[in-house]
Amino acid sequence: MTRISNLLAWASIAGCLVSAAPLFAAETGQSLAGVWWATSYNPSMKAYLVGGGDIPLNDAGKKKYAENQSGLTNGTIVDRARKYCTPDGLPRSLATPYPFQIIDAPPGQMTWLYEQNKMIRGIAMNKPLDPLEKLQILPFWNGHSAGRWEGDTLVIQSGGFNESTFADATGLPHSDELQTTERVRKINGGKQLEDVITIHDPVYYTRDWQARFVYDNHTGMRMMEYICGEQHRDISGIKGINEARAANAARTRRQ
Amino acid sequence: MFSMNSLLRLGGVLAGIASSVAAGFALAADQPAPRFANGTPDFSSHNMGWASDGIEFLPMPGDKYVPVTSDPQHPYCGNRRLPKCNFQNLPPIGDTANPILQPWAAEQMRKTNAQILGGKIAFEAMGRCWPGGIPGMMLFTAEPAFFLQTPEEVTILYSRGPNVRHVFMNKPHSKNPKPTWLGESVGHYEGDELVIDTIGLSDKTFVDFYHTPHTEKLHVVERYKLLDGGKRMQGIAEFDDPGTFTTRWRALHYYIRRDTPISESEPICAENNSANYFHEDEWPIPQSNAPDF
Repeated sequence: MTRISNLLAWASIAGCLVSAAPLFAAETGQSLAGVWWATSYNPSMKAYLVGGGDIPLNDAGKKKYAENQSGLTNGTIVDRARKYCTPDGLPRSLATPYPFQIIDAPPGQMTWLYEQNKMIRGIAMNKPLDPLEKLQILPFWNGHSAGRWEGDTLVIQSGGFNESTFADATGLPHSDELQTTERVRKINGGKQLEDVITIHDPVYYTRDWQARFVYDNHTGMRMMEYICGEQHRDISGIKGINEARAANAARTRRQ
Repeated sequence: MFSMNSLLRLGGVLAGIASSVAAGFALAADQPAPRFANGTPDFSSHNMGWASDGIEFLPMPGDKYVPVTSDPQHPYCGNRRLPKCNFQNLPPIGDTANPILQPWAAEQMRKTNAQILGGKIAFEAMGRCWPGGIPGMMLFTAEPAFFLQTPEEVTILYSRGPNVRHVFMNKPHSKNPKPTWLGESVGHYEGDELVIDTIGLSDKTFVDFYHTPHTEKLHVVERYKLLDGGKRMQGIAEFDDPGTFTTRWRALHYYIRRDTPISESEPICAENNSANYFHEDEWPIPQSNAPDF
């Protein structure tokens, strides 16, 4: 299903990456290292949509979304990310109400560690991302990622996702042709982190769309264990979390 | 006349000596380890992981007390260990006669052994996607662990699970940390060694694959050192838990560098293990009956 235009786009991106100065983030003085934590949560990606409006699902996307929503409601589809704590995948993991840590290590890589579900994203720095066809041979839950700096903004390109995740907690779909570009930077003098993700998935969407996430800086706070089904960090202070929990409980009762 | 038990025990001792001699040669033939610009040894070894060389702890040369090994009547024969053999007991059956064990610990292990030999499933934490204990998690051979080093923290990523362990550098322990699966770890460097001090460990875990138990008072000090120019890593762990062990004891272990960066692997234990294909009495993997949010 991959189109020639996609291939050309990736080839162009790869060319830019090869010509970029191959410097390790920490050596350049650029760093997003620290602990970051959202102040609010919404199960729907629509709440994070840049520009508002509706998420641009095509007919196949609307059909798949309806199937997912129905299955999640009546229990015929299991949300493995919540039942077994498998990775949320992108862009759903960006909405996590738990903190995450960015580490400028090991050399040549940036590592994002999400407390929720113990998700690990290894982002190869200053290396071109392999073509989608190659990444799809071994698809990852959180995709394969490569990053580079553009000024003070970290640009992360990801592809090679498996189809075991949803794009959000309501069952928004994505295909294995999903490719994302994140532009991540500190804002408000470093007090916050902004991650704007562009979703490219022609299988289910009429056009590319963007979602924006903002996290507060909690550097110095210790990350905690997260064992599926056990008591976790108190996140009741996160705006929207109690509503989401109430909705989940109501859905469980209906099943 | 030697009994069969005595012969088997002698075989185990000889194997231990052979391993110790091999360890001595490795140390003697050591090459400079890779380092960061500030001189700190680079345990990431160029973004690569460390896979355990075998599932058993080795005895420390010269130590009177040694780690639990396999029951002489049910010897464990690892794929890469001497003596060569054509049989294998899995899960391994621990030697409950090891003098480091307090009576209750030996009795608990005897019950576990009987359960296994009776064809039942004993709780294998890492086999069922639970954290494998400290430093038991470093005994998993199939999937490597990665070390991320910053001045403030050494973060160990265990591919099995995965599990993420945070080692806070040059910091004291908290007073009475709440027991958790991975405990509270603080660390520092001593020359070429990374020293990790861990307390606050939940008694849900074992210290090894032989189901050797421990209490929440377990105190583990691990010392990691690079060997052969960073191609191998040595780990020495010291265990102190008077509630479980009759004495402090130490264990030696080696790790082999795996040439796969973190960014090129994503093992998710729960991906294939949620079903109980082989045993209906299999332990469940971690799961939530109600969504967290």
